[in-house]
Amino acid sequence: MPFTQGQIALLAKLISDVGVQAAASLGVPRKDISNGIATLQNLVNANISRIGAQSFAMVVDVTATGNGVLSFAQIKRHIHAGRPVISIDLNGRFVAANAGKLRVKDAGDRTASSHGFEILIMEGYSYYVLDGKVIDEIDLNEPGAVLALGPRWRYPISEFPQVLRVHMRERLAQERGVTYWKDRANRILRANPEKTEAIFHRDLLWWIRNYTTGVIRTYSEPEGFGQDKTDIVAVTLAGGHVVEVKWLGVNEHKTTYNRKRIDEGLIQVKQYLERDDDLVEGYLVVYDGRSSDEHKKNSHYDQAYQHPLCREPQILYLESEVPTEISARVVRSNKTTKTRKTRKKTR
Amino acid sequence: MDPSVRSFLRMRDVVLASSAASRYQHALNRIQLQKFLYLVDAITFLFDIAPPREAHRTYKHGPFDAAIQNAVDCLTFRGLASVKGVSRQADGTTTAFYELTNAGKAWAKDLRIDVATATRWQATQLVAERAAHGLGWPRLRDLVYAEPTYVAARPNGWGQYLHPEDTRSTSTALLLRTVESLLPSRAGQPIHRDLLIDLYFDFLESAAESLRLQAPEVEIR
Repeated sequence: MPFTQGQIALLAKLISDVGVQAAASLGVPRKDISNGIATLQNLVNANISRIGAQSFAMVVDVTATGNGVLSFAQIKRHIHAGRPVISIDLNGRFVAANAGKLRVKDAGDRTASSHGFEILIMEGYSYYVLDGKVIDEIDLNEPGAVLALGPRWRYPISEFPQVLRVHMRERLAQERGVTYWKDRANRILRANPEKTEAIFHRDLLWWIRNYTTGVIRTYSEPEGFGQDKTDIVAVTLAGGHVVEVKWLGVNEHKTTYNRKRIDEGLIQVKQYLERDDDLVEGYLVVYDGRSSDEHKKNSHYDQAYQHPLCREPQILYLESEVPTEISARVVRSNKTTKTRKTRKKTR
Repeated sequence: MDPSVRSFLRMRDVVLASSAASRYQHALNRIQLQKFLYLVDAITFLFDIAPPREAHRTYKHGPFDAAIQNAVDCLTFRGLASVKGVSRQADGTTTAFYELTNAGKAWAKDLRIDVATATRWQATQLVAERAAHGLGWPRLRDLVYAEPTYVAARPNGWGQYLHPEDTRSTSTALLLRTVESLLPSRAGQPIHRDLLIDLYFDFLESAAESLRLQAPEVEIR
């Protein structure tokens, strides 16, 4: 490795900056785009309570010159008039308002075709979408929230099973910081307000961004977030690591996924790895909401679908019992076994 | 390279560096000149300028090129630069600041507009701008101490040649090429040079700050 860990961490800090990525991709001065983004962030932050459930997109038009600084009252007016896609110039001044769909996928399509940049405000999150990719997302209610975990919890992305293990233990187990059970007792997964896949995708992406080492920047394809296919790309000095997220079991909309979903995930990872030469490794993560028996019996996959650069799929069982329930069950099962043995002996 | 040609090229570099620094009302001292020109040489590959083949080597106070000091002496002898504020330090070293005389300023003016040196002038100006608006002139040395080529070579002792433009080993050039490859860009479009240089100095400043936190040192002039 030509650079030290400290140097790589500095590079990551510089390159992961939204303004830097936008400046590089749009070919505009970094200072200008960073100022523009800061203006928009300030506008959103100052109006978080008024935004509520309203969604809108702010498209940065680097070629236009707007008139008048964009205000929240103006945004609200355009949302009500059915024109929620608002174009602004680099100084955050209003350029135009248009009709348009407001899913992450739509923002991805818009920016991919225009090679542009936009900030999508939706369901309490702001998504920074650049040239077809989500390069950052911020929880508007908890901006910059990061767990206070020591460096020993941080693993390089190349040790992905360890990354997942710590993520499972610190976040997903007992739903600390993320809620995915709709009905824990009956093992039914949530599907509202976000789709089931998006719940796991978002939390894993956030974890990779904050708790892996050697990752310079991350992005995800906006066709994802549970809407269609989904993937996360973590870019390191060695190349990109693509992560496909899937789930198994049943959710509150009665959508059911069984073992075949693992094969589908493997096929998708294979397609990503074949399509993009910059990717050096692929991972499939499957969060398993099925019963424990089903998890043990039906978690196999067809190796024919596994690309040589794709690591062994990680099929992670989602606990629905709290530790006291687990220990009580173990004690019960031990007792039953002992009783059976005693009966056998007596016979 | 003929030593006289090498010395002449460094005279040109010193005149440009002093001219750029004077725009920020600053006169460079002996060590700052060495550090300033090291940083200029480190980024000139981005301007398609070939750096000197044998120039900077690791030495007591960081990278050192004897030709720079020779050039300063020549400029002073010929009346193109003047020495100000000469003083002897507690450690026995002498400090002095160099300024261009009117004759030196006239030569600088020619060099700035000359097609052959205008590009080098651009690179020199960028370094001066960052030195003035970044961590400040007194911390030029800290920036150089954080430069990847020097960081990698320093443990090997004095006298190691430094090639910050060589992408085959740890260097500024490799760092910037890495940054280029990691940033998103439109297909076929290179990353703008100004952005790369901006990021490079951000990198050096952050690295210098973390090095300072690890081992605070007494300022050496």
